[in-house]
Amino acid sequence: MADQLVRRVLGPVGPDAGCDGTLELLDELVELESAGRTPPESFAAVTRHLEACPDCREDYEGLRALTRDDS
Amino acid sequence: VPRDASTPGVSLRPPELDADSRAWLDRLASDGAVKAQAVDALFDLLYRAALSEAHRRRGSLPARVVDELDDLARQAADDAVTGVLRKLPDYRGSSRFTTWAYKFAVFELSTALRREAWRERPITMTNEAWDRLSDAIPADPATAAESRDLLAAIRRAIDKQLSPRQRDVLVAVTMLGVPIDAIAERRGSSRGAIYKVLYDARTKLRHALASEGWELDAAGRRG
Repeated sequence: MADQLVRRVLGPVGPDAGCDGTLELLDELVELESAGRTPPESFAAVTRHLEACPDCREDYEGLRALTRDDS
Repeated sequence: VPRDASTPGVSLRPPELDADSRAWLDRLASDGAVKAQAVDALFDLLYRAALSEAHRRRGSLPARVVDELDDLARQAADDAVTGVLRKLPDYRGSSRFTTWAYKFAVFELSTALRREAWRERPITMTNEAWDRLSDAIPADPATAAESRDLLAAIRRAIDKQLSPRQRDVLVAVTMLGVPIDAIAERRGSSRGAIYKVLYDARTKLRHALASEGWELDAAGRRG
C-alpha cells in the first residue's frame, strides 16, 4: 500500500508523451494491442504517460472497451 | 497537411485504408445530402459510443450525474462530431476510422463526466491527504519504519520544494484522486497544462528525495 502510494505520487521515470501526444496516438496503440501486436519502441513515451496520468489512462481504457465491443 | 495535387483542396487519402474507413471518408468529403447523411450517421455512431462509455463508468459517478448520462452523451457526441470534421484532413489511416472517431467521443464524454462529478465538490488540501500517507504505512514492523521515513521525506519535500501550485496539483491528483480535468476546469486551463505541472512537481520530488539519499528505481521502489 505504501509502495503503491509512493508510485502514484512520484510517477514513472523517463520520456513522457504528455496528454496531447498520447491522445494523438491512442487509437493506434489500442488497435496494435487488440491485434496482439507489441507496440514499437516509439510508443514507449505514450505507455509511460498512461502510467502517469490517471485521466488519459481512463480514456485509454474507455477506447479499449469500445473497440472490444466493435470486434 | 499534404494535399493531392490532382484535386486541390482534397486531402490525400492513405492508400491502404480499409473499405469501411474509406467509405466514411468519401461520404464525409462529399456534398449535399450524402454528406448530411454521413454526418448524421457519425453522430449516431459517436452517441452510442459515448453512451456506452458513460454506462461503463456509472458506478463511479454521483447519482445526480448518472441521471444526466443521456444528455451528457448527446452533448459529447455533438462536440466529438465537430472535432472529427475539423480534424478530418489529419486522419492518416493508422487506425480504423471508427476507432479514430471514438477517441473524440471518449475524450469529450470523459472530460464532461469528470467536470460534472466534481462540480459541487470542494477541492481542498486538507489534512485528509496527509492522513492517507499515514494510512499507507504497513503494519509489518520490519517495513513500517522505512516506509514511515520515506513518506515523511516525501511530505517534507512536498512542503519545502514545491511551489504552491505544484503542491496543490500533486496532492489533489495523486492523494485525493481529483481528476486533472476537474482541476483544469476550475483553473481555466487544459488537461495537458495541468499534467505538466504534475510532471514538474514529480521531477522536483524525485530530485529532493535523491538528495536526501533515497535510492528509488523508475517505478518508485527502494533500491
